[in-house]
Amino acid sequence: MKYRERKELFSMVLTLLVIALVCSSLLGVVNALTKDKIAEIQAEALAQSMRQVLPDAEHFNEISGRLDPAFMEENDVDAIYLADDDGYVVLVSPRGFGGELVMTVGIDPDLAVTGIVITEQSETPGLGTKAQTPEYLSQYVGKTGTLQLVKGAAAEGQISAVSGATVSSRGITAGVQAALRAAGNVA
Amino acid sequence: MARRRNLVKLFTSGIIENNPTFVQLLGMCPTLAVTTSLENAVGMGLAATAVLACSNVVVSLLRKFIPQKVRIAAYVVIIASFVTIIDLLMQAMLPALSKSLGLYIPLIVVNCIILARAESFASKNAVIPSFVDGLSMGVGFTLALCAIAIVREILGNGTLYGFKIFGEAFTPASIMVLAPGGFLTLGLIIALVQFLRQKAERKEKN
Amino acid sequence: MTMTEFFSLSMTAILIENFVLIKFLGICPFLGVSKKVSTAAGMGIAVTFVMAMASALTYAVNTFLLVPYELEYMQTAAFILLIAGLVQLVEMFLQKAIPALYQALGIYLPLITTNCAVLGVAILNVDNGYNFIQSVTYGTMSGVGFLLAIVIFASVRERIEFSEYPKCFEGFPIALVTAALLSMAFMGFQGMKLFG
Repeated sequence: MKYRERKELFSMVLTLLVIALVCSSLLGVVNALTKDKIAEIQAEALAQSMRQVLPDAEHFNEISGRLDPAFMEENDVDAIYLADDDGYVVLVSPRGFGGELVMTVGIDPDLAVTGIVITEQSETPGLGTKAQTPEYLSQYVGKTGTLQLVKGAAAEGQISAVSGATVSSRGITAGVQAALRAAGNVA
Repeated sequence: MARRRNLVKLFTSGIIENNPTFVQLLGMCPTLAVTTSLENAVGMGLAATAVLACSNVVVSLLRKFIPQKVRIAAYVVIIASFVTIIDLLMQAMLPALSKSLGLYIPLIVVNCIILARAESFASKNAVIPSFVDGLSMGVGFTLALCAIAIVREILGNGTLYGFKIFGEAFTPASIMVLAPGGFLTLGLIIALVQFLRQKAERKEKN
Repeated sequence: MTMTEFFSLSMTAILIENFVLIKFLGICPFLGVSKKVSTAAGMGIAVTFVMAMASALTYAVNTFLLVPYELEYMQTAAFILLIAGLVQLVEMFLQKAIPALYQALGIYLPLITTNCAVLGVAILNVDNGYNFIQSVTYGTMSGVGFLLAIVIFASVRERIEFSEYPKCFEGFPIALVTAALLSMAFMGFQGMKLFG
């Protein structure tokens, strides 16, 4: 009886071990095959969003080290890149309505916004997403210094929030503002 | 010939009379979470089908070697490996879809349909029927997801597979693509299925 | 972590991003064991307990094992095994140490392994880059959110038993319609910003 029990336990452990070994080695192989491709896709997506906000630049060098980590934490700034013609690209992730908004913001040497791309969002479809249309985002282009978000019609230099998507508009404004500040800090 | 007919019957059973979503009511989380658009539903359905078919085959192959007491742990390891493989492949080949399904791809591991089929079918049957069973349950799951997604995407976003199908005048009812719309659509579709079954039963009695 | 951070993370997990009603995680037990308030509460407490433990354990495994050895791709497999083992351990521990609690929760414990809320919270902790304290807080509070949702849901379902509705809505459909209304109520919390 004792012997049989021990044998049973041994076979149980052995089978599980073999299955786990085979599975993990298989995963290792698949990971090795796909790792480079996945990294490439991610790098390409980042490069594409950078080209979109600063079309003239070709090379981007990360200079996040020049920012104070406490400042980055406080303002949801993820990274900042120096573009070759002295513009900046800032990655920010402010809070929107439904969660984090991940944005790429382009800034020219005079510290004015050149473009915004939203790469990840979870805003309410049909409401919050209205604050992500090219028309809405184009309001930010050329703005500099402190941004002013208003409800209703915007005067010169102000940004008009989308009605029904005030929180989303605020989130995007906070992100752009953080990006402007970050660029100002490293300039 | 008879064997082939059995396989066909097995295949259709998972799609219609034993549909995992509408009849067995399994795997509700992805059913509700990813059906905001048809594209997501198809992607999720196919990923789950691939995992189901593969894990059923492997579990069936190993059914004589896995000791009874640790079978669930063994199944979980097998399923988790296939899910990770599918996850990595999707990240490499279909990055956009993989991003929009996000968290719900690794969560295929805990989709009860897969463990239920491994336990109740694949561990007792030969390889080919197990494969067919996995495929059939997967297709049934995919079709169910699509049915829900079509309703939600048309009503909630005014599009189908990303294409606008209404004019500009149509204001989509956003609530349908939000959480409540998911519960509501699934509830109404299951009610419809039950209604049809009750009607069929009444007819049989008469 | 300051007190305000703790409060804001807790409210986010319980109300604003309720696991069941907003994120659709843990739907199976939510629909399956919500016919009576007492069993629903039992399930909710068991889930909260396991989610808190799982958050702590998966954080440790991820930080000290998976990341240093570049095994992040093993995350799903490692986490689910860990959760299955944890549930088994909790079950054995309760059986020996607190038999009364085991009697009350016993039948729900095995079900928790396949509760996607547990694996979900482990993966979300990593995705959100939470530290140890944040992970445990988020895990526990998400569990409390689950508990809250399932208890409210069960008390509504207890009453629905006695009301009249079309026969084809019997069972799941009427429960799902109820869940839709509940989820609509919880949507009111969305977009709330707590302390910045």
